[in-house]
Amino acid sequence: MPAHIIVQDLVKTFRTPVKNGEYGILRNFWKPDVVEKRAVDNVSFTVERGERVAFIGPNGAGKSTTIKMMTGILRETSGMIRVAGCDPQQDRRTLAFKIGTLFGQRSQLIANLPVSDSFELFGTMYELKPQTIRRRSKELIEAFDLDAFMDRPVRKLSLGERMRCEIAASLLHKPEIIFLDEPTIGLDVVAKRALRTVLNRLCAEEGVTLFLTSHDAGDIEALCSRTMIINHGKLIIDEQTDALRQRYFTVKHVRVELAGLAKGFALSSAKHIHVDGNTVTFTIDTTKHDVNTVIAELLKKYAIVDLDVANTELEEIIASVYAAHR
Amino acid sequence: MKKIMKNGSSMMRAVTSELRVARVTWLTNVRAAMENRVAFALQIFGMMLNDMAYVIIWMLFFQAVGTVNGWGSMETVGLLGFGTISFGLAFGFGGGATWLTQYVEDGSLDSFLLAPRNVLWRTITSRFDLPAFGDVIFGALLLAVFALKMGLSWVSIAMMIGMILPAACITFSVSLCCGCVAFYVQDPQHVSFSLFKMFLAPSMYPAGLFPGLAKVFFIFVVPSIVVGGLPIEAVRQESFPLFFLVWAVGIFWLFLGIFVFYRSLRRYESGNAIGLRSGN
Repeated sequence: MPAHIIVQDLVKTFRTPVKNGEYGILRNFWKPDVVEKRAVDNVSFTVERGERVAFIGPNGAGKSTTIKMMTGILRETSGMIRVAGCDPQQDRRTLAFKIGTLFGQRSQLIANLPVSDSFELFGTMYELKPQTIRRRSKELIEAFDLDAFMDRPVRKLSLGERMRCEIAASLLHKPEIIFLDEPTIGLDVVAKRALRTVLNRLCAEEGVTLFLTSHDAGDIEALCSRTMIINHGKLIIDEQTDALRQRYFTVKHVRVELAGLAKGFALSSAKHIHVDGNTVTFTIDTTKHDVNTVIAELLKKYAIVDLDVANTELEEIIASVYAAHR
Repeated sequence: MKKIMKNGSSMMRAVTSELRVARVTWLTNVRAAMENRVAFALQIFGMMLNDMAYVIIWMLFFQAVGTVNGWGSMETVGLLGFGTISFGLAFGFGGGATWLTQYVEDGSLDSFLLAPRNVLWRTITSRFDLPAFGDVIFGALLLAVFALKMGLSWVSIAMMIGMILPAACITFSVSLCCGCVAFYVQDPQHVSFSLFKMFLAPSMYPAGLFPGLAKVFFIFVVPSIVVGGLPIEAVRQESFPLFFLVWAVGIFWLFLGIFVFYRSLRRYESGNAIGLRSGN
């Protein structure tokens, strides 16, 4: 069976007129210089059915442009895309029945009307029968816990409530693939957690392929088994999220509370030592030192009240990858 | 033969499906607009008042000068009736065309491209211009007055009704073409509005005011006269050549509008403006 998403040698260039300081106003107006920017530069990957992929990168890296080409919004400059067997440009309408999309920065619900009216409009648009719309709405209302505000106008919903409704609306027609572009943008911790839980459950239950972009490492950890990192339009990393974590887990963060004052604290293998009263924090480079040996040395030298050893946050890993490819 | 029948029936299914979605979208649009009842009533009433002001101005003008190249106050009532009803229908049912510049500028067009529908149909039915209701009602009233006062024959009345559709198509298509500038220029709202005004302003003047070449220009290049002046002349003279000319120009502009939209759509670059989507 072919992959659910195939992207091959994908390129997208944008041409923008730019002002040239050496030219006068008229020349800049009549014949400005044109700069060609490669927003997506020879990107290739495949995604299997049911896979959950995070497609991340810093601002302006080409994430949204790639998603927009995959969903048929933008025309590619060159390369090949197949999503659920469809060419997004040639088979845009067929593809629309197979995918669900959410662009976190933009609402697709009707601002003045209750959420239920948007559901009805989307259901009709996807050629669902009225009873199917009702049944599916009921399922999603339960899954996303929307019952309390289904009859409230969209403009009066909180961001978290609206986002849950947006995702539910994009799942109304039971898509095979969902593209989520920053689904948790602006949400508080509780709303994020609730959204991730329900997405996890729905993806597992309905076998949906998930393609997600987010600046929140928590989304990636909670939802995606695979992570692709794009920067300057190029795909720089494509591996399992766990493997990525392992590969970049070269630093352990240690926080230790001593029985006495920590002034003059010293440990041969410790780096970035920071002392604050009885508490010391430092890092261990695991490529050079064995954590067990360092801890044994620590216990031997100092009387310890409390000890905490933590891995690097995924967020830091991502930040270091971005920094390395700046 | 079988293949033709099969293609025909699948096309019929597609058209029916699009119409069903359009019906639900329009009803949703009306419901959304009526959420604010005061604004709803004020806009309709305001537009009718605005139209009325035009009529009064022209009545006073013709009272003062008599007739201009065979055009008097009643012809102008008919002209304004034709103009307002075609504008009302075009923007009532295809109001999204007037929002196209904004859709392109802020990236709202994305959601229409993501819908499993015809993108042009989805775009134009996404909005509906409230005052358009007022235009349609007022235009119908003016046309009724025109028909009664001029003592039009049944044939003329049928011709008059028959030319409303091509006139509305022209208004809609010109508005669509003007909206398409958004695919080519930055800050397109003003450019688009200026272009549309170039079409709108002459359409409100009696056709008798335009001398030979200007008349040709405003029929075949900028079709302002075709949405009011020309239909009134066709009705007055019971002229079928003029009737068919209105239809021919209407069909030409409809296809031109569709062509320009899809051609321009290739240049769509989307956008990431943050906020609620405009249009339903």
